Amino acid sequence: MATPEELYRLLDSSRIPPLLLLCGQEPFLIQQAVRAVRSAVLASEKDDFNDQQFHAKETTADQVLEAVLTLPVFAERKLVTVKDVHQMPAAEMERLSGYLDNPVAETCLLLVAEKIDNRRKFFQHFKKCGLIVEFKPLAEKSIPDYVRRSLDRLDIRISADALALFCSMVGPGLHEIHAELDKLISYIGEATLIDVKDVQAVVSRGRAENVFALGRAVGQGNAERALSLATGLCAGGEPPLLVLSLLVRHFRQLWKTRELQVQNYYAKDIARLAGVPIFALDGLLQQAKRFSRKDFVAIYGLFLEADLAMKSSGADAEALLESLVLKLVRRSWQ
Amino acid sequence: MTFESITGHDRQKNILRRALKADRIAHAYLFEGPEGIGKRLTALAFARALLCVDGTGCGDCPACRKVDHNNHPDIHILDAEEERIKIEQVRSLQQELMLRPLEGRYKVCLIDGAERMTVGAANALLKTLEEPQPNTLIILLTDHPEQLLPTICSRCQRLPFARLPRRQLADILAQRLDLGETEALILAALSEGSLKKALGQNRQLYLEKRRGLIQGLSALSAGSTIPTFSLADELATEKELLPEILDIFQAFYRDVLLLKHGRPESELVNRDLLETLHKHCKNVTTASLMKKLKALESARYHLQRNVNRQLAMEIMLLRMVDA
Amino acid sequence: MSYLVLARKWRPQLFEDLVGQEHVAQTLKNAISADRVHHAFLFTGARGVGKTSAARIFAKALNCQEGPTTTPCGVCPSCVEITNGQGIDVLEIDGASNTGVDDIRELRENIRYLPSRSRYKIFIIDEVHMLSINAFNALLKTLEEPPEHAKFIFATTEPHKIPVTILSRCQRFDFRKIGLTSVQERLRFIVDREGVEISDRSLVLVARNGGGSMRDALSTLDQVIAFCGEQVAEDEVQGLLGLVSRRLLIETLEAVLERNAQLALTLAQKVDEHGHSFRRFCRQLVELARALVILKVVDQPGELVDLSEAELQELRALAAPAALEDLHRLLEILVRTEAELATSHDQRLTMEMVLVRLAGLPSGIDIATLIDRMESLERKLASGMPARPSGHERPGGSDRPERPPLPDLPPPGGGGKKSEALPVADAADKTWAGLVAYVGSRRRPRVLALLEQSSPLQLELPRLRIGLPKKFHYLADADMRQAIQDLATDYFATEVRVEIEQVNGGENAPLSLHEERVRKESDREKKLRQNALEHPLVKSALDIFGGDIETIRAIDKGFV
Repeated sequence: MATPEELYRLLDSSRIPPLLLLCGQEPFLIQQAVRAVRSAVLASEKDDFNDQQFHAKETTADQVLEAVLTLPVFAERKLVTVKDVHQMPAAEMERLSGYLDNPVAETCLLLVAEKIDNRRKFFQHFKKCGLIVEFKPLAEKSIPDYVRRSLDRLDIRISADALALFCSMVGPGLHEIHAELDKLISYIGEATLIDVKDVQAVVSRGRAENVFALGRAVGQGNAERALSLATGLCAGGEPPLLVLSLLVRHFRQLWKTRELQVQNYYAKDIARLAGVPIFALDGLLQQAKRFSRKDFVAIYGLFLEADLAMKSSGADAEALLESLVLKLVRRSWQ
Repeated sequence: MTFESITGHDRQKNILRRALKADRIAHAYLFEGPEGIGKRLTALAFARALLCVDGTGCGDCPACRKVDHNNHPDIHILDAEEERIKIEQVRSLQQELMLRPLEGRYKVCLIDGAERMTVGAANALLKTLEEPQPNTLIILLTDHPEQLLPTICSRCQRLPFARLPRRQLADILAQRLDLGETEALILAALSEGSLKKALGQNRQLYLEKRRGLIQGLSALSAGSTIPTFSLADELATEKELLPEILDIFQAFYRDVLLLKHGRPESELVNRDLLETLHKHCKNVTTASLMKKLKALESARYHLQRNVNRQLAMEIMLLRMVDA
Repeated sequence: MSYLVLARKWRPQLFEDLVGQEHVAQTLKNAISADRVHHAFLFTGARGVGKTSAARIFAKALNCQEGPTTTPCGVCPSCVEITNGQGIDVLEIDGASNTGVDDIRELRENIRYLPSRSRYKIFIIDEVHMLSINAFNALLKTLEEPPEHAKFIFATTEPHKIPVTILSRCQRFDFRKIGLTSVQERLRFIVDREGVEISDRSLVLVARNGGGSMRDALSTLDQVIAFCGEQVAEDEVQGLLGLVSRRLLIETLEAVLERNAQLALTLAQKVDEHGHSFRRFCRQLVELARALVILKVVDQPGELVDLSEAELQELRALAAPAALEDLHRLLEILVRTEAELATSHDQRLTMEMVLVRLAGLPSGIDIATLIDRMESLERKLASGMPARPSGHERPGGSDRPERPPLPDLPPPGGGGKKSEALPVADAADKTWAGLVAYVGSRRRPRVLALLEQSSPLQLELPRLRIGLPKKFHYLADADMRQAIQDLATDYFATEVRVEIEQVNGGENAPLSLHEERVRKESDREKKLRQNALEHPLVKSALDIFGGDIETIRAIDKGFV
């Protein structure tokens, strides 16, 4: 298993492995690597003859073999790419196995997979004969740094609040992060500083982020925020029942963490027993403080009513959701 | 069919007249409102005025006559086939609309009961509504606008039609059917503002039978089990008229409810039964009235679901008596 | 000649014309200027807010002969074609009808060819969420390795139906519902150029009817002009739009909140006279009821409610005296009623019944007051508990109107406070209960406990006969008897002879104090029930709902 850095070093020095497998759950990084391999292998950008691409679900091993065994035309090397290799049936994979022992030097066989099953003979074999490079997704806590560095490269600064807001709104996928950054950068035009209001104006909330924000707003009793998030979610097409179930989950977490805290558990145990990530614990406990046990019971009663009503009364589910949110954000619980 | 010959709907007729006069005719309209009050007639009158050689809906020219005889080649009407308007019907309509009008200035299309379009049919219609051929007029008619796709509604000019006011309808009925004022008012009230309904066959029911039914109902009390069963039996045999009979009972209890809450007698339906109404008003609580009305509602639901008629009527009466 | 509806005639042709989507316009313009144009875009938002218009403007900007420019000229062949929806290199595809994978395959084939004469080949796919899974997968392949000469613009009202893989490859722009003022301003711009006279107030009604969608607002404007001609009278607009007047709606809510069923019904009659549908009436009531709740919960509702300042004031005044619980309940019942009306046989009757019901509900706050009263009643009963006289009246005993309050028994284990011995008063004041209390004040717990369970059979000084049930009788040994005797002598200030007998339950023995207390509890409950049943509010609730009172519990005030 090689690291991405090692791969790039190889490519820079034009030492291209004939058998290359890129795997990982971060499509952005993999796409970058694929492009790098392509420009290292091929002489020109567009090379119809020597650049063949296949998708594992629609290809047979024979087609791939034919491609790799055919020598390059008017070029030193050729590239054969097979995407979504993890979707290839085992039988087909086995037929490629033979090639692995004796690859053609002029061909680079580039396989791309989301994940590899280490128990499959094919991958074990590949490990011995070729180079496997893993691309790990960015850890959540590394995102702020990543964003800042990306902006630094363009001489653009971002305020701390804006950065925090951005990270809370955009999920950890690099494609999304870059798309949203691009938008921001275009939006500010000639300016060189990104502020909170810029982020609020153009950045789109990922769907998961939206729902967490709603849970937080309700937990904090922030009526305006909760209402506008709830309306925004429904306007974006989220089914109100789904939003309800996520609200229930949020309060379930609040209740559990509160009970455990009252029973004097250690933070890491609370996080574990309640099933919440440890970095989120503080925020949850802050919110949970506002509610007594009786309050939680009453809130669960409201959830049940809303669930029943949404499913059987035929009334407008969105209006019912809003009505529920209005009840949940009352200014003072006990 | 001219605008003049249609009763009521003056506001809507004026809107259409002005559109004709100013030559500002939208390419799609949605006529919405309760059934049987004149939407289709108005749509046809509109079409006739549009296609008339004179441009006035004169009634004499060949075009007007053809419209009156349902014979004009440039008018296409879509009605539901087996409860639905299917996508094939819409597609063949679209084919028609691609061609230039044969005789008149316009090609007119009426879709009666637009809410009965299948989802496929509705979607197919969308593009035509958004960017139609020139000189095309599409009029959608519906009793249930809330059942239409919002994307369809937003591409039409909406024209709501209301029920005829009771007074107005009563006057017409008094004249046409030679009825006394009280009778005319009762009939008008029970016809829900629809001239069509009022002129229909149930006149007898509404006027004569009604009194007997109500007396029978109000005579029941908690102890009178046998009469209750016998009334249920009688109701069960009514079959087609049953929904209307339930309407009559409903109107009766509503009268009591209104009376109880201070509405004037002039608003009541059963004006010829004032004594009975006042008596009930005194003896019955609001809660009890609500229960009786709910029992009626349930009975309607049961009948819709094909519950055995006699059973449904017995349950309804027992609940009412018990309330 | 059918005329061009306003929505088409006045479709935005430049970025500046896009109302309410300034954030999108600014970003796209800057992207063009800086040559940072992504290859795939996703425009999300409700219908009629500018997605298709923006897509076409963007396409023109990219392909304009003068371009790429932020201000497409509008007259070159490319611009003209696109404006008419007939660009050779700009293909508009309807996702609703071209959802299959074959359609996408065709697209992928098409995409390989360079544009005929423009800079870019642009694909605008509307309602893209309707594509089949296979179509999405096929599309994804193109999005992963997009040709340089191609751009994609997708539009959708339901972004959550789009697979994440596609979402992550697009630059997403969220189009917002257009604010009331912005719509109004655009309408004013248009009517001035169309030579139509219409007041600002009428324009607000038209704008609001659009519900945040410019297309719907313009469609409404068309209707209004068609009816009124070039001079629009204010009173006609309301009738034309079928809007129930605000006045009528507010008065209805007021009537209901003031529990005036008669007035509510009168207003319902007016609604019918105007020919409004009750469903519409109810929907508008829901909007206002929602605003009332929001006003009570949030200080500055801002964009949450679509009302002018004057209207806000009015509603604030209405919301102020009402209890939040009442408003919540009002809103919920109206929301459910709206759904009922859809399938209701007689909309008017259903609405009338709901109004009567709403006007008859007891107020949430009043129940709290009711509870308050019951609690204080409880307290009074507890402190004013009369001592039950013994089986025999004391000789010469007068009927004392005033009964001494039962003194507190010392807490178990003897509290911290030193309770003073009761003053020994004259014989005329002595009762059994007084004796027991006196024993308590002398801090004789064992004796006290026994006396509590004893039945005073006879009190005729110097004779005191007390009865004990079998289970306690063994406790009354000679020492105990002596102790009681001494204490009684002290208390009654005269010689007392104590006799202790065994009594069996069921005999007509006078109640021990313990038993009395138990009996008082259940008496108290009965009294509570009695009081509750007689309270006018409860009576009216019973009247309206029917039903019985099951239990009466003192509820925590915090809940109500």
